[in-house]
Amino acid sequence: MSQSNNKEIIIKGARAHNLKNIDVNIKRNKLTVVTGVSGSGKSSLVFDTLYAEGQRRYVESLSAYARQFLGKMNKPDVDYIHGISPSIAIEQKVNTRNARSTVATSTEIYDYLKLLFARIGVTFSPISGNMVKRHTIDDVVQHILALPENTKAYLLVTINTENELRKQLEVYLQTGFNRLFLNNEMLDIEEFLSNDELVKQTAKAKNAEPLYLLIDRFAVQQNDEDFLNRISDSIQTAFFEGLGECVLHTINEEGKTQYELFNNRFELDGQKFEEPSVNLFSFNNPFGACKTCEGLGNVIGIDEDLVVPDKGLSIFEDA
Amino acid sequence: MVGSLYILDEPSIGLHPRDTENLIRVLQKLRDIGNTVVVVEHDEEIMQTADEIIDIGPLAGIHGGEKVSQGNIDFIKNDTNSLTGMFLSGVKKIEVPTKRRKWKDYIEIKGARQHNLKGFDVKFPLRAFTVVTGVSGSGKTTLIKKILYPAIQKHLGNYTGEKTGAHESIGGDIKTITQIEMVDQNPIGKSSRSNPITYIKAYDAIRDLYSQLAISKARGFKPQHFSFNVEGGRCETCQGEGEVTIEMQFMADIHLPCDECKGARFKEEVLDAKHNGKSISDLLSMSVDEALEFFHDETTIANKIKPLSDVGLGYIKLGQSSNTLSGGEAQRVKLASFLGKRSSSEHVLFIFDEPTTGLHFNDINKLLTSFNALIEQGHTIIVIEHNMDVAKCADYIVDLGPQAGDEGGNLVFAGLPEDLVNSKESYTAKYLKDKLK
Ligand SMILES: [Zn+2]
Repeated sequence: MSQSNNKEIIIKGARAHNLKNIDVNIKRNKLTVVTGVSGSGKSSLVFDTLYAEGQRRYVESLSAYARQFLGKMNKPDVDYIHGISPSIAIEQKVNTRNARSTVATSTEIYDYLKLLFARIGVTFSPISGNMVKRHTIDDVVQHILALPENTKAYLLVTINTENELRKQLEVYLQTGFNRLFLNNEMLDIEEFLSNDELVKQTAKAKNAEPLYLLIDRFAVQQNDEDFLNRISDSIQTAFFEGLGECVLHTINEEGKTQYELFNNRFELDGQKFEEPSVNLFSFNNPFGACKTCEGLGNVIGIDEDLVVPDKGLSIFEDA
Repeated sequence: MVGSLYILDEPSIGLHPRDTENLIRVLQKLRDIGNTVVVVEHDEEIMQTADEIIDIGPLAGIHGGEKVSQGNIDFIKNDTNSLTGMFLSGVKKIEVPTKRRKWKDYIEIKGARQHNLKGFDVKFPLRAFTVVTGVSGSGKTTLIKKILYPAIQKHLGNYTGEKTGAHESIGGDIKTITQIEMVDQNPIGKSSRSNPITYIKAYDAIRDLYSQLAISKARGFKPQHFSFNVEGGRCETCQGEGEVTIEMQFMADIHLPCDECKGARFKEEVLDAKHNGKSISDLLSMSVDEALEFFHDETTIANKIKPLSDVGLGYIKLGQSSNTLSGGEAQRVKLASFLGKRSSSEHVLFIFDEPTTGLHFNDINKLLTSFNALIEQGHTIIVIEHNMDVAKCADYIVDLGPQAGDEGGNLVFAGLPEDLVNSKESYTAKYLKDKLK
């Protein structure tokens, strides 16, 4: 890459707009903030010099259609830039910054962020900041195999008790499922159905312990191909019955229990995300491609009148 | 695209502080998986977490353009060359005014009870600087945007189409107000054709001047020949844009200079018309400060341009497309257009909703200076703001709350900043105290 080193991007003799022939080194693989009063030249440095050059290099690597413009693109007014990689700029195109448009603004920023993550093939939830990941059957298999040998495990699917519980359970019986899981205990579906009182109670009780359908139970066996095939099949069944979601309940040697949620849908924090795809890449049409932005906008939008008190206080901590 | 350079332009703008934290985590992750991340920002929290800060300045335009400082936050804070660092460390700060304006006239809203407002009476001084504070959800926006603004609009006979929020009455010296303006950070014009000089209405005089030149008379050029918005003198290839835009997939649009006029925006015969050696195209490329010097003898034009310099925009180009202005710059162009009017019979009530959003500390100072200039001209300023540097400069604070929602909506305090800090109920008091030491 650069002759001198590849730890830095070296900008030599930048003169765009008001820049006074300045040299600036920017560390690679670091987070750098460029600041200054408005009109100081920070945008001339970052956008009209650094990004402009990155864009030129990027166009060079693109199709013939894009390359035909290359000769015409204004070269940034700079002696040279070394160590630059293809650049992606996310411009703050929104100028509507009054409170009324906060929602739109944030949504657009997240749209850009989502675009950004689509580019690198990784999506982060703006709610928790954690990576959004679709679990594959293999992910769950690997997770199980990483548990200590002989760990007791139950593969479960959450039952939506608000929907005609009795009927659902009868269908499960007919399909060949026999067991439920409630309050860390197994129980027979037939037994459960025979207790009218319990069925009614479970159907009514919201926010109580969830009722699960037991898909499979096993003790972890490493290096056992039969076991591997068995749990793969079971996980597939679980994802099917659970509409893309399943729960692994484990009990370790000390008797400690744990519930872990897996899903093969692209979602996190209750939000569905658009999976990275070419459709998401058009910078010219950031909204068109994304059908989830509205949902996200609602989540991150700030309605002054709905904000809870301590949320309001947090603004003040920063005021 | 790991190993890429990611460039973000003020990503924190419009974000709730809680979301800023998430943004930071996301930026850090982007870096940790092997990318270079460069962010243009004023947000202190983001600066805190940066590996390195580069401060460009020290000031704007010809007084800027240099690398003032580079290092981590502790280094910047101790670098006396860095204006940013000096504000961050508190060595430099926005000064508390030595005295507060005395006021006599006021508007009074009685029985404000829209949404969560609990039916209180509140006064707003006229020809003074009022800041409305309170936690988010305390009812600030409801009071100002749902009651005060539409009620005065109605009083002025303007149709807003919006129902005025619930209140008993509005009174006081409301008759002295001739106009009400909500000034936001929205762009001054949607098209790339609008620019500062047309917005402040100084362009007409300039076109007249150019059409009066001998060469213009000989060639039959009228004022409209010097406009890039209508056919005649402008370059028709780019229709006066000076550039052509090519939309690109995967990346930002590419702007190419127009083949025909090479970016000059006008036909060659029009560019022949020169005033003191400068064509209309040269003029549009001048900064405000350069133009002030250039029009030294044309006082009418100079007086129209000067407010742009007064609000701290001396560095922007006269013909700069308005969509390249930041929100804060657009806001100041709007202020300049009012400052330029200087009509003694007008009394404009200005409302600003969080005008400091996205502004550098030093630019907040300029904004406050513009507020003062408007008040000196006999106008009234009411600002909804969380920023305590603005609140501490107020002549009068209206503090709502104490909490949000149902536990808010009360008038917690109204009066001088110095008296607000004694309020036990007010959250604002807690934060304002530090600023008034
Ligand atoms: Zn042209």
